[in-house]
Amino acid sequence: MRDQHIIELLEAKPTRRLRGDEQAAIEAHIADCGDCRRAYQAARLAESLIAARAAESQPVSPFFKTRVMAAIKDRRLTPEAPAWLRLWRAAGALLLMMATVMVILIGLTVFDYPLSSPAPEAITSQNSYSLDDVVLGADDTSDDAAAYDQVLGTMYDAEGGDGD
Amino acid sequence: MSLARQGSEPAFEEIVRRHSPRVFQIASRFFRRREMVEEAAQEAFLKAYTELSSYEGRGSFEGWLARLTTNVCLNLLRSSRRRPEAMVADLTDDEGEWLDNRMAEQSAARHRSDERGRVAADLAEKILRELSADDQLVLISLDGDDLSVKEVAALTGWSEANVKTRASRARRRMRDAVEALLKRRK
Repeated sequence: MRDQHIIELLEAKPTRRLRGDEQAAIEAHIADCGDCRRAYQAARLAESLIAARAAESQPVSPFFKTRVMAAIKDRRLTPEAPAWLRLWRAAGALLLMMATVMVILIGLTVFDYPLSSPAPEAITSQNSYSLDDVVLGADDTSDDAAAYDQVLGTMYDAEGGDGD
Repeated sequence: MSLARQGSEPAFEEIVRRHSPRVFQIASRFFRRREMVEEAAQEAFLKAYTELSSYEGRGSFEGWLARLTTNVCLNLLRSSRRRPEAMVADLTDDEGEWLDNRMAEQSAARHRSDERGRVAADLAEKILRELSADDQLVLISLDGDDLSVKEVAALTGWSEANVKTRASRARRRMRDAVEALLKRRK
């Protein structure tokens, strides 16, 4: 059965960083505990492996800088604009769109209104008769009837004239 | 820096020249093969080139670049982990022999001067490959390169408490993997 205290020590830091009292406690314990001894040995071994792996570092190749600059050209990369500028551009596009809509709406209101629903004054001027004429228009039938009578009378006279 | 931000290639070239050693050092924590280290370093610089505007000048440029490189490497390593790799069970004769000898010696100091360090690094790579990319990063940075918890937190953007938790978990997994390997050797 492993001592949790020993295991916690092994997991909290590398064994080379253990304090003297911690190291002594571990050594005293593993003298009698096979499980913790194996855990301790494995921890030391793991540290050696990690140290060996960390010691490896690749040097910079002489053509690396050229390679990076060529990749920038190949991929046609460009530095991004700062965040505030990108935001401003996005907001600018939105404002432009809103302004365009406003101009269209104003244009429709000012220039299109008379065509779609002309004012009463405009109606009377276009038709060359007044509102009173429209209201009193019911009496126009008498004028029409007189006109018809006149035409018929003229036609009758003409026919009668021929017959005489 | 301001020239590079405006897209001046000579100015950025100077940045690449000056910071390449540090970027290579970070990329080497994640990858062993030269071509992978170079690819990761290149991706880091390309990302830095397009995102220079996000560096606001509050901290050091080196710190900003180191963090960006760490993130690029973590992402590359995570994607490479999805590909099948050699398993830790496939030990070479040299690796098996190293383990046996190492168990007999138990001296890290002697090992470090050992000309067979490459064999140990090969074996370490096999075991680390079975851990997550995050585990590998904390183990190599904290226990290999002796960085502080604070430095690893700055590199990764994780909180210090998070780094400690991850480190503890990673050490347990690494230790378990080594123990399993030793059991198989017996």
